[in-house]
Amino acid sequence: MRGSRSGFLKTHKKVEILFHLFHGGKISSMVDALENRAVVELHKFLWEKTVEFGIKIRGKNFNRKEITRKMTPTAVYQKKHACSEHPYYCKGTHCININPKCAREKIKEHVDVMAESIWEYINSDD
Amino acid sequence: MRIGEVAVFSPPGNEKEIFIKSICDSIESANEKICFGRFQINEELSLHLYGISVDKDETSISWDMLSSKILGYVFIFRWKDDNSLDTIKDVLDYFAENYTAPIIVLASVDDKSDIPLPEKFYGPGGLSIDRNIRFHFCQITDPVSSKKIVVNIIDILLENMQ
Repeated sequence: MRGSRSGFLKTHKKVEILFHLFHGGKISSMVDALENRAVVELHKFLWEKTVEFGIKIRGKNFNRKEITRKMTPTAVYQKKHACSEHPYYCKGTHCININPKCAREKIKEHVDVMAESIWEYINSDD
Repeated sequence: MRIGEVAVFSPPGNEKEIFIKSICDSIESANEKICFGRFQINEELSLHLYGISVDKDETSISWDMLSSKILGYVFIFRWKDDNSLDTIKDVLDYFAENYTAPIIVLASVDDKSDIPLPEKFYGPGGLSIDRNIRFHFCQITDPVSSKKIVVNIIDILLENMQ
C-alpha cells in the first residue's frame, strides 16, 4: 500500500515543529536548516495550526487579521528592503526562489508571530 | 475470527511494552526488539499489537516485510527527550511516505500535568499532521489514555470509508 504523503517537509519535521512549539522554542530557528520548498511548507503548516487553534478559541469570531496585524505590513517590509517588486509577489511562494534570503527573513518573522498567537490561544483558554 | 493488527514503534526502552500492556493486560511474548500483545474485543474479533524497537540508523529490518494488512502504526517518543524523537524519525518518514495506513505519533508523558496544552486543542482526534497522520499526547501507563489511541486509528479508518 504505497502512500502519497511525501511533501518537501518531512513528517518528522512537522512533529519537530510541534515539539519545538510546545517546548516554547522559536520556530524561526528551524528555518535555516530547511530547503526553500520545505520552508514554504513549514509556513503553511504553522498557519493551518494557528487558524485551527484560533477557531477552537474564538469560534465564529475568529478573524485572521488578529494574527496578520502583528506581522510587518508588506509595504513597510518592501520599503525596508528597497524592493521594487509588486506587493503581490512579496510572499514566500514567489520570492523564496528569486530572493531566498529576503523571503526567509519574512517567513521567520511570520512563523514566530504565529507561534506567539498559538500560545496566546492556549493561555486564553481558562 | 477476524484479526486487526497494529504496529507500535518506540526507541529502545520499555515504552512499547508499557503501551501494549496498557491495552492488552499482558504481553504474550517478548524479546529485546519485539513484543506481542492480544486484545480480545469479542469472540469474533481481536486486535494484535506488535511492538518493535527502533534504533537510530536502523538498517537490519526490512520494513517492507511488515504485513500490508496492518490497520495502523503508532510511533512513541518520550515528550521530554528530543533524542527519542530523533531515533524514530527515519522510520516514521519511511512509513509516512510509503504507506497510507493511519499513523499516530504519540508523545509519551509520565503525568498528564506534563502536557503543555489543554486537551481541547489536541483531543480526542489528536492534532492533524498530514493525511491520516495525527499527533497525540498520551500517558501510556493509563489504559484509558492508551485505548483512545487505538480508537483514533479506527476513527481514521472509518472516516476514510465515508
